[in-house]
Amino acid sequence: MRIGSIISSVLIAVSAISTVHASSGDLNIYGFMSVGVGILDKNEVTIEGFEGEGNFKQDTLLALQVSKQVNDSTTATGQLVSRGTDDFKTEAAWAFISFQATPDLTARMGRLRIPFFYYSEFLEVGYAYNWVRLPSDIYNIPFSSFDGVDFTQRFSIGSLDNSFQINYGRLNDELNIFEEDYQSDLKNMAGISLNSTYGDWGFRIAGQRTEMTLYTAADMNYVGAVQAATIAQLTHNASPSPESGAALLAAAESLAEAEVNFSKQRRIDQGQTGAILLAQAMGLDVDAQEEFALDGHTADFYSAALTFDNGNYSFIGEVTAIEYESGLLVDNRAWLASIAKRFGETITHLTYSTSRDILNSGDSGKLQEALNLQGEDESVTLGLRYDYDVNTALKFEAQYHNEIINRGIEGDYAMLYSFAVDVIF
Amino acid sequence: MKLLIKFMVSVLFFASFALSSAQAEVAVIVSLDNKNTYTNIDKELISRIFLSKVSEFPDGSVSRPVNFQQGSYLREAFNRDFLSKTESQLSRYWSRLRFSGKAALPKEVSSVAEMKLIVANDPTLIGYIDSMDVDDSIKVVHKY
Repeated sequence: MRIGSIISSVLIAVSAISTVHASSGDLNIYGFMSVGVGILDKNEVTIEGFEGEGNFKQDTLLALQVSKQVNDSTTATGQLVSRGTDDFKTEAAWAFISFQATPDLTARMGRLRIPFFYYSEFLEVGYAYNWVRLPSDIYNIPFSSFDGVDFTQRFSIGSLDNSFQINYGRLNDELNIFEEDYQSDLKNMAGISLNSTYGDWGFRIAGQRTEMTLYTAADMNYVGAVQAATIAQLTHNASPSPESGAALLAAAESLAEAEVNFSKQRRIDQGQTGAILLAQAMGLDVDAQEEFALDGHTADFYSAALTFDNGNYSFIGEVTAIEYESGLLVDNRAWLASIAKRFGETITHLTYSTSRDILNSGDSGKLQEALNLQGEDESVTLGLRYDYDVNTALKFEAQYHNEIINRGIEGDYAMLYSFAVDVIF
Repeated sequence: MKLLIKFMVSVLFFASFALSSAQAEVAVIVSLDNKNTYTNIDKELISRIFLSKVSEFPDGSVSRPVNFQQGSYLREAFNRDFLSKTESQLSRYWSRLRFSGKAALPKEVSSVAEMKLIVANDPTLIGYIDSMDVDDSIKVVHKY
């Protein structure tokens, strides 16, 4: 990879002059790093990837950003992120060329972050916010970058400063959902967002749409086996005979075989298969094969946020809504409210966040319910951030996390204690 | 009683004297070729320019801020008086813009002489110096 080789050659140059922050001409290297540890007070549950034993890998990541001003109006930027959750594999979160068309209009092309919600464009920059990690009730979308273009127009109305951004592109990548990998193609990813600030106040509103295709499939072999076994059972029950008994036994055997295969599949494949079977068994008026699939089905993401920061007190409130055309993913409503008070270089903060899945109306919703797809969570986080110096923040956090409903059934709750060090350089 | 009041007054006097000498008077400067005047560049606009929220002067011409490097007493005075933010708060503010590719940090200089020189020669730049260092090579648009 080109950026990789540029970075490694630059790194050699940096180490040669033994300074962390390099700047040669217009070439800049910056970066951020987080190291952290989290531990739950319970052994039997997993929350945000944490368990009863201390986990040092979950919150740990390193990112390097290189940018080079190519000419007066053009800049090339790359940001490589290496995450503990991903076994420190390195991935380009950003890799773009930006063109300053006017002082207020910027066009960027390449790999960009998807500006879903307030923190989405800097979601991994721990130093940039008070929490050890962003509230997972909202910030849990399994993809965060796309390949395409965006345009940002800035304009002011009196002292109200605004930035209006539109983006368009595609993401063809492997996604990790429910701890399993899915090859995916998210086409026609298009969105708009408006960011406004007025003195200490800030406001943001955004919408994003994409057509989601996941390479998943219903297990039609299993569906056929279940249907055959059901018919054999009915036939045998209606007029039992040695032949019908033998047929039932054979059907049951092939069903058991098919079931072994089915049980090895990924959760979304199983959901798709389950939807077809349950829709038939429950006599629902749902075309499960078409509606409970992810084949170009749209996903819409909306959000609005209000912020305030006067230097001593700060606040953020954000509401989000996600609408999926496919029945396999459940629509979601979430919000968070957080207040923080600064005492010198220490900030204490308190946050409430909650997320609730909304079942579809009618038979489609009944099918979602039968498939145990819905969840509901809430959490309260109390934390402390200490700015050790201008580039280093130490964070302590206690989070009460309550899974009210997890995969359709009553969930569990736990306390998660975290400590992290975030640096920028 | 009278003695106590006298003592308090003298303490207050010395306290205010000590405070004012610790606080540099910051003069915000532009090039002599810059058409904008003292009256139309206020503290709020200066803050918005230095936080990369606005990129134009009131007359519509391009504005680009110039900062002193971290650790400079003038930068500290400017952060406090014009931006009302600590260095850590600013660092956090810029980390959001920088790591989302939205804006680059303002250009930085290390000396008053350098600040005056580059601002004098480029009408798009806006910087600041100690008001004691003001001379006729540059134009003051705001003092605090």
